[in-house]
Amino acid sequence: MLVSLDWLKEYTKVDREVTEYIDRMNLTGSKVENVDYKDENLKDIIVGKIIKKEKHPNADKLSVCKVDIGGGTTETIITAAANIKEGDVIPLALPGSVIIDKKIDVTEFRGITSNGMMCSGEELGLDASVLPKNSEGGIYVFSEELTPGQDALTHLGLHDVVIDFEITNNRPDCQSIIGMAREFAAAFYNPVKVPQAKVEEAKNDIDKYLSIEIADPDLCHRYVARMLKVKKIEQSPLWMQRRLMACGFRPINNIVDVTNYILLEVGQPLHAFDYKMIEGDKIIVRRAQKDEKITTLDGKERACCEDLLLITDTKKGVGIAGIMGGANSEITNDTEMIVIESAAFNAENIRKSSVKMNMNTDAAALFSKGVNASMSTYAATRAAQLLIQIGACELIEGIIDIYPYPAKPAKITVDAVWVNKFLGMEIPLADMLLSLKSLGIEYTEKDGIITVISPLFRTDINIKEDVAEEIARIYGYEKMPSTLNNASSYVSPVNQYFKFKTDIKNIMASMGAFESLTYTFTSYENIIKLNMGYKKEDIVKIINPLGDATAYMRTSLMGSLLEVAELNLSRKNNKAIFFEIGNVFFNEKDEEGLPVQKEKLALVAYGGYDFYDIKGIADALFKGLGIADISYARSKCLSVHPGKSADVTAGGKYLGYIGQTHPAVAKEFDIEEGTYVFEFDVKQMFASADNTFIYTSIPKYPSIVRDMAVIVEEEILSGDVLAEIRKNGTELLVDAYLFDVYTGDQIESGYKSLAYSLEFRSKERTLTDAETDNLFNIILNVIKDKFNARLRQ
Amino acid sequence: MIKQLNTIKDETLQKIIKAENLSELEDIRVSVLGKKGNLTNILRSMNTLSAEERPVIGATANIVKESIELSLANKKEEIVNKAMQAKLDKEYIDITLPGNKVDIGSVHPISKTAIELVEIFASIGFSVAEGPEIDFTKYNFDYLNTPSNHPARSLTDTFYINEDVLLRTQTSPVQIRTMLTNKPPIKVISPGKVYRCDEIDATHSPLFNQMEGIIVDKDITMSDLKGTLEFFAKQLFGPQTKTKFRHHQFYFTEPGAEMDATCPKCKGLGCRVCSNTGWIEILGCGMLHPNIMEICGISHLEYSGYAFGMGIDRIAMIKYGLEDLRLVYENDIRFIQQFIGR
Repeated sequence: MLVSLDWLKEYTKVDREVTEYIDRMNLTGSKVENVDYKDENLKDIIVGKIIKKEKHPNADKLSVCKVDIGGGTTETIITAAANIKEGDVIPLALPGSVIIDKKIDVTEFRGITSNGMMCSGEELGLDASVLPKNSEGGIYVFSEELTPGQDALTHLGLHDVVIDFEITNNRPDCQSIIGMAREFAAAFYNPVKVPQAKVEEAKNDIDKYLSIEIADPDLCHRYVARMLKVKKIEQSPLWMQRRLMACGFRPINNIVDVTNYILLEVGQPLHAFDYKMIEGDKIIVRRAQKDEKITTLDGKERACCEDLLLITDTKKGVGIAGIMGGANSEITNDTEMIVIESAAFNAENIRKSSVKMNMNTDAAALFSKGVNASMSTYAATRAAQLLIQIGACELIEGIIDIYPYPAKPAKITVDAVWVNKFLGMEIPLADMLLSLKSLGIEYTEKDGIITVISPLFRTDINIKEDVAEEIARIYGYEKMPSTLNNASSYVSPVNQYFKFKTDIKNIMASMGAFESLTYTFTSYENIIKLNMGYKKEDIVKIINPLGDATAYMRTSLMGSLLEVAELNLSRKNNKAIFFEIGNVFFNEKDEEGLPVQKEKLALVAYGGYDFYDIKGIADALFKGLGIADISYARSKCLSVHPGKSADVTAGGKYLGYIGQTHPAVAKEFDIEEGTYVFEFDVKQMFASADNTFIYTSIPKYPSIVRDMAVIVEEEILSGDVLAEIRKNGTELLVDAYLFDVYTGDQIESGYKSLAYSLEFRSKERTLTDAETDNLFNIILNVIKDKFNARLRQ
Repeated sequence: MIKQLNTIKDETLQKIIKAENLSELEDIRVSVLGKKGNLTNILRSMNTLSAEERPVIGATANIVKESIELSLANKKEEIVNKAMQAKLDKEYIDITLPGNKVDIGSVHPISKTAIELVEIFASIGFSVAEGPEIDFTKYNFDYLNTPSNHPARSLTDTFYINEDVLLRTQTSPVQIRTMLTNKPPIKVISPGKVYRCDEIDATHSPLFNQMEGIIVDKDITMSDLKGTLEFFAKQLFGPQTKTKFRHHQFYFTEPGAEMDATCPKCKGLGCRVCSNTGWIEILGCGMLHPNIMEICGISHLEYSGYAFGMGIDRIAMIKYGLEDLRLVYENDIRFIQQFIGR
């Protein structure tokens, strides 16, 4: 919301430094987004009047003008602009003056000296979109006769300061200069003076011309009309034009300008119809019929959507309610009588309709936020008043006001003691009342019990907390003490699962891996490329995605991480390990009825790692997290190399897969074949982690270590042999691990040698060599039998 | 005999001084104190002396012996030290050669920031609550007092799976879930991913990270909210940080507020990061709206509470001086590597 401080002065005192306003308005809840000091880069621009205009003798496109600069003096000014003529009053920059970023000097153009420059609106910092059409793309031409030599910036409203405020959705009343004037006044405890909307009238002549019916009161809460006779359609006065321009509106003509002026001043969008185009002398506000079409002001024929509210006469649509007028009832130079509509529509319906119709107009934006029905008559009368005042129209006396369910003010009782207790403040009662008063809120008070009558222009004050808020923000949040939950010593128990995930991240990072953060959405193609066997019906689809590449929710982190590898490889980051913890999603429903969401930990390693590197990382991670009883079996996952991958379980529970990416998948993602991945379910890891650890005493008796080297066929898995060793080792076998794998010279081809270290110890005594050898041989014989193994000599 | 003893002493001490290594020293020791050493011989012949002579000679002999032993020990230490020094003088390595490589990685800056925020709030008794990223429309909007015509509900703002299920636009549904399933006191923070229909650019992303917090207990005041968040800002950006508590409106709070902190880059003097204002907006907050408490089955007459929320990405950008959010989600290792140890 753009607020011109010059305009604001009409309603409340504006006499402080701009920075003071910025600070205070920010604190009280009107957030300043931008401050535009209009004359920041302008100096000494005066009003000039073109007395004479001639063609430049040596240049086709230039004109030589004699310009009256006041005080009986004229100057020669050369211009290339085509939109000016003799008699025009224009802003003039004489030598020594400054326009945006440029100092003006005497300049020679093909033998003739120009003693200054006529200015375009843009050269003075006005946006092209707010310039009157006759000044667009050329010199700005004043619409009124002005005395040459005067300060031109005053007439252009360029000594103004315009502040852009963010207005929150609960305060549609602040989408207006009057609404903001109320906020400014309250913030500084100043009075506010809202202009009286008044026209001189005695009769109800309007009824002779027009009647109104609201057929769908659920979508139209109030409809007010006034009628006026057009005297002359011309440019609006300069004072109105400069206010419109300051607030981002282009001056068009006196009637349109007044409707826009009221839109800004009151926050009520108005529409003006040409009365003679309204057939049957009746306006009916109703839903569009099926297949109904309407041509709007912009000349486009549009098919009406469902529940679109139309303004119609007895025969046809003449406008789309709250969004845009119809072409058939537009004001033209031949218009003799106008109907001014001031209405309040259902905000949600306007919002939905403007989306469905793809029409984002200023009116639709305001109506979507909610235009207050209590302002409709004020706005209509105020518009009539201004149209008469600027000489555009004559009044047709009377007003039509259809208001099926008038709003009633809310009445709220609040205890001053409660207010202070709730806020943690000690605001004196008198200051509470002062805050309410300065906001224009009526109240009564007895023994500290305040009864508030919520003003009709405010729709956001309904409960006692709202009243506390109004008091606090005007009294000042800065006066609020800072306490640390004085009344609550409650400490919430630690979330062990979140801590577990943090531990994973720290352990992974300590092993040289880098955490990535990828998008959870993906494309259908990427899910298919991973070849995990998911069908379209398994995947969660977004109905309104940004694009095809982000239309589905991922079912695996592998795709995300392969893309990370792909990006890094394309940037010559040739070797890395990445990991990530994130959710994957499935269409299958959980117990609540939501898509199943599972948290995964995944890793990708590329650029010269092998299976055992990442298996080492996985094993260290499991160890670091207290996850024991890990086993690896050939993986069933289709996205990994069948011979170089494993499904990983802890205590028999499936954690996930680990291995080399399947060459076909690697090719699809444009990464090297030797890329390794793992993906584990974090919740399952957490469930498998043992955090009930109690220490065991350091052994009292020595252990005996025996090595067992056996020769087996190459296909035998060393892990299977190890498992068998452990299974048969009794409680005396305290540790067993593989320490060497050998194929080569001394081993016939098709076989390999596996060397295990076995450590035996008893808790009660020192073992003898004899009993150790005995146990060793029992194990060895099982291995020989089971794996067709022989002892390596 | 006394003279003989003194001669042995003088000669031996001379020899010890001249000795250059341990074997020479050992030879000296053997020649004097060994089984056949000259001092040993004298001591052995003591019993041939008279009762008057024996104590006198004996005392002298002992003094000589002790003085030789002491001298030998000193010389031995001197030789050993010298040898050690000579050895050390010859042993050196190029200490500027790189150490053998032990890889170290890093958690992502967004994770790092999230963990830091969690730690700060954990220190004052908050714990983490998490919830689904795809959640019900009712938990994301309806239960949060969001008006039915609020633009945030539209298809241009929020990703939907169907009318009733969406990608959460805030982590507030976690708070609703917590309040629905727990009785006060409640004191949780909820970090996590959230989604909004924004194309990615320097400051927007369709997926970003948020952290919200909530407390519900008896007699919680708005000054508690202000104090808690000031504590947080000082922990995060340093004890010199100043804060500004401004009024603002949110549908789930009443009254609502926003908090600014002095720009950590320019310390409040004004710079590009803070658009020359010296202040940076860091979070939104307010007292829990009574409607929300009642929807969740908590009496707003018996309890009060507050809620706050902030963008983790935004905090990370402020903290690390990041200028482009795209870097955060691109995962170029040269970016993430910079956060090792940070």
